[in-house]
Amino acid sequence: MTSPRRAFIRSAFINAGASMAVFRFLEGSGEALPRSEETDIAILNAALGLENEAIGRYGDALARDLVPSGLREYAVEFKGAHEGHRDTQVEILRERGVTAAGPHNVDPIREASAGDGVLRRLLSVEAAAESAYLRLIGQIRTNDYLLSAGFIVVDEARHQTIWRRVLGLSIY
Amino acid sequence: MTAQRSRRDLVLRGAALAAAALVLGGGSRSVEAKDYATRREALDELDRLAGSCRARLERVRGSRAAAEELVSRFLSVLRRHRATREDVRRRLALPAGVDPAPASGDVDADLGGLRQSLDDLMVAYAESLPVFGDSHVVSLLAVEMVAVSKLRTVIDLWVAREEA
Repeated sequence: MTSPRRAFIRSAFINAGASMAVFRFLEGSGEALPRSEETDIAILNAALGLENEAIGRYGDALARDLVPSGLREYAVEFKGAHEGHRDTQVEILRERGVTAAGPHNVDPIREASAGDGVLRRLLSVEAAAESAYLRLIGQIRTNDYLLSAGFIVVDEARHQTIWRRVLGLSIY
Repeated sequence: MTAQRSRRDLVLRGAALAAAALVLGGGSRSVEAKDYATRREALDELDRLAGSCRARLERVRGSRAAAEELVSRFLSVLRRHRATREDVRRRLALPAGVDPAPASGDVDADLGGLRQSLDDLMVAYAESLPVFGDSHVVSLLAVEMVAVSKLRTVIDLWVAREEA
């Protein structure tokens, strides 16, 4: 059975058309990526796919009023943070002479009403993003992207911690 | 634009991202970033900042009985991180670190101060990653940076609850 975290990453990669070598590396079935400019660009494009997928999921949850009242402010903030992560990585790609892909179509959240099920979906988005960045960060070659990835992943950790607290799940 | 200038801009942009999140989360930080010249300097700074966090946690434990379990868990996490940094020093053939262990009398039990100390440690982790140039070390330290981010968020939520 596919975990929500893996399903999120698979969906992001397929929908965004990101590098399958990066996907296999994330899944643990591929070889280590060579530290090169090409790898950095593949990681940037993959991360962009993840950010666009996260933005789409949050956008869907907010547009359909699926986030429980009192927590909507967090969802708005986190969607904005993912947009910031996207913009940072689009800019890094631009500085390398690469035009970033635009947002892709994101599958709607399955839940039809606000509740813990939706929050668990959003938690899985953050957990997937955090685990992907942590798996990839050691493969990043250039210092500028490494530094930005560091600041991005601590953001994902913050989001994940807040959703876990809201759901009464352990942090450690 | 020079490579150095380009990197500096990205540093500031990354710091701005984190700072924006902290503004929303109730914290504050000036948008500046530090370059570490050597791996040893970075590890020494991480040790120093982690020592400050430990001292503040001890003060919080002494002033809030209800915080005992949380403080114990946090201190345990920081102890594991220190052991990892010692492993990293050995891997990189660097001398062992000196535990700064500041006296807890030097700091207060203010939760906002603890949050700032954890924030400083988290940022130092992020800013130090480029100096290591070793995939394994970067991955190890990134995992610990994320753990510190989670500790910081827990304290942030605690501060928010007390202020509400």
